[in-house]
Amino acid sequence: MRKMSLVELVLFLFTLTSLVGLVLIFLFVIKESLPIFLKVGLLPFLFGSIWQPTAGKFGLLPLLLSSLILVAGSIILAGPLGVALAIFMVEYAPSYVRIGLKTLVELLAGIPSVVYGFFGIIVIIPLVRNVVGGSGFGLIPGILVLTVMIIPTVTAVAADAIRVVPKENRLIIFALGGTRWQSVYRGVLPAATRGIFTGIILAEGRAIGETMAVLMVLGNAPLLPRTLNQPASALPSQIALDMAYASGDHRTALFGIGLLLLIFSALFISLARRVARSAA
Amino acid sequence: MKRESSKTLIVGFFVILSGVVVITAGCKSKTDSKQDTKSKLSGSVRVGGSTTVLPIAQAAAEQFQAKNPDVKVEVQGTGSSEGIKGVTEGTLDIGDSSRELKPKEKSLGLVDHAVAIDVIAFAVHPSNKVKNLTPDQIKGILTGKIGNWKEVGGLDEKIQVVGRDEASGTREYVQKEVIGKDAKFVQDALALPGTGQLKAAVAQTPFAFGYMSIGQVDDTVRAVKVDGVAPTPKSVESKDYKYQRNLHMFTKGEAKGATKAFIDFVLSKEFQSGTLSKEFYQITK
Repeated sequence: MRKMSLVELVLFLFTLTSLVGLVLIFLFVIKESLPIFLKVGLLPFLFGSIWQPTAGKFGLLPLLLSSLILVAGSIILAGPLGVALAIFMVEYAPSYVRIGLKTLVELLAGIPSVVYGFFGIIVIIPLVRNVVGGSGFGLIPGILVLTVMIIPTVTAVAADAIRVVPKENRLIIFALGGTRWQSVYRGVLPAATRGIFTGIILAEGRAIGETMAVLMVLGNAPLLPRTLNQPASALPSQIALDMAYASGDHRTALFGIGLLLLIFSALFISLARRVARSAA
Repeated sequence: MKRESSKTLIVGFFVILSGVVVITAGCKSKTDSKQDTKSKLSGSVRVGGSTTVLPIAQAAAEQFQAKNPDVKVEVQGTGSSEGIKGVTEGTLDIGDSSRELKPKEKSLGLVDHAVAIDVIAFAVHPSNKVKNLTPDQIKGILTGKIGNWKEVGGLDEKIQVVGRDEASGTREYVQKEVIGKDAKFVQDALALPGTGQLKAAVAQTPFAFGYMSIGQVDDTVRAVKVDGVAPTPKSVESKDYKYQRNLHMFTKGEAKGATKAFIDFVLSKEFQSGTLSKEFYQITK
């Protein structure tokens, strides 16, 4: 075997460390959550409709549904907005606007989530309260905050996908007498579809794991979601809320939620990979 | 050339390593020598737990550190249960709590220091017409039996209960002393992660109903009377206003050194009748 240089060795050790860390996290979460699956059973745990851990009722359905609604709602809003922003940035904007927008999007992606939570409490919740009534806490501000948070992910990935579409795709449409919009719609978007969907799926992955901002605006009442204007609680925020005092079965149930979130992340990432790799 | 640079790397690594060793060794001997001089207080005190006790601990920490510059007091607010857990496990020197120890926590070897009397107020939006409630009505509202303000003499509007998450000692108190151990809070009650957020939510929501420490009540919310008694210093002292409790600082075993000095300071007349009396009620007269 070839002798490794020092740099190679160090890099190899770093890679190994993160890999071992990941495996250990998975094993640890599985080990800690196993008791709750054995005690409650997989299906009652996932689809039970009452989450009252201190009363011994561990049904994740209210949290699961709320999380899915949050992801779906925010992606419905952020998908078109983010893609439109990407199209504008790459195809329409003059270079100085493009650079400005790019900086802005990168900045938006780097803002800590607790700051988004503040924004939700100070701006969105009073707005929701005034427009639809109630306390203002709930799924609507959750969806809106998440929307703002995941637009950068959608835009960044979609913009890259649009940028690498060959120039000929646009020129052909122009040569046929098409307008700029026709060149985007007929020439660019079909070729960039995979990239755009990859971005959307990655954004979903971010949305489902988002904790702090959601915790601050949801109201954290583990109710089955019936309308959008009601307090709710999501999977990751429930962990953050309960971890401080949970013990016994409650604690293992939180690890169960953690395992579920890990599986969701893995699913989203493998889905994104598959979409990115599949033939157009 | 390549060999040379990796050699430099290795040498650099050892230089840094030895530097770290020297520095840590230096730190160690420094603290050792400090502990020898008994005349001056030094060390660090880690305080954490109840967000209700947090303002007391913070104010006390500032003043205490001004007097004892060599003592570092770190204060966090996470919730009573976490405070008790922290001091038991040794991650905290003092665990703040706004509740008593649970039966299973009694055997942990914690020593109780009652540091203040807190009063639980039931707060509504200042515009709310309801000024007075009976204990039964309060229980009804919190458990959801009473869902509309018109049932207690207010406008025809749905009551939005605003509460804390389950790590809160205040919630624990309300559970035990107001609605009863086996009763459940109304299902759509908000569970906010801090007492400041709770107050803000009540202040901004016209038909909200929430419970909070009297120290939190200001112009933005209004405390209702209970059976005609408003929470005032007089009604608290005479116990006519019954929703009151002791706030605690727990230590693992008897407090020693800087930790003891800090608790003594919190209990001192100067602090109790000064800063503390602005928001809470003094435990030592």
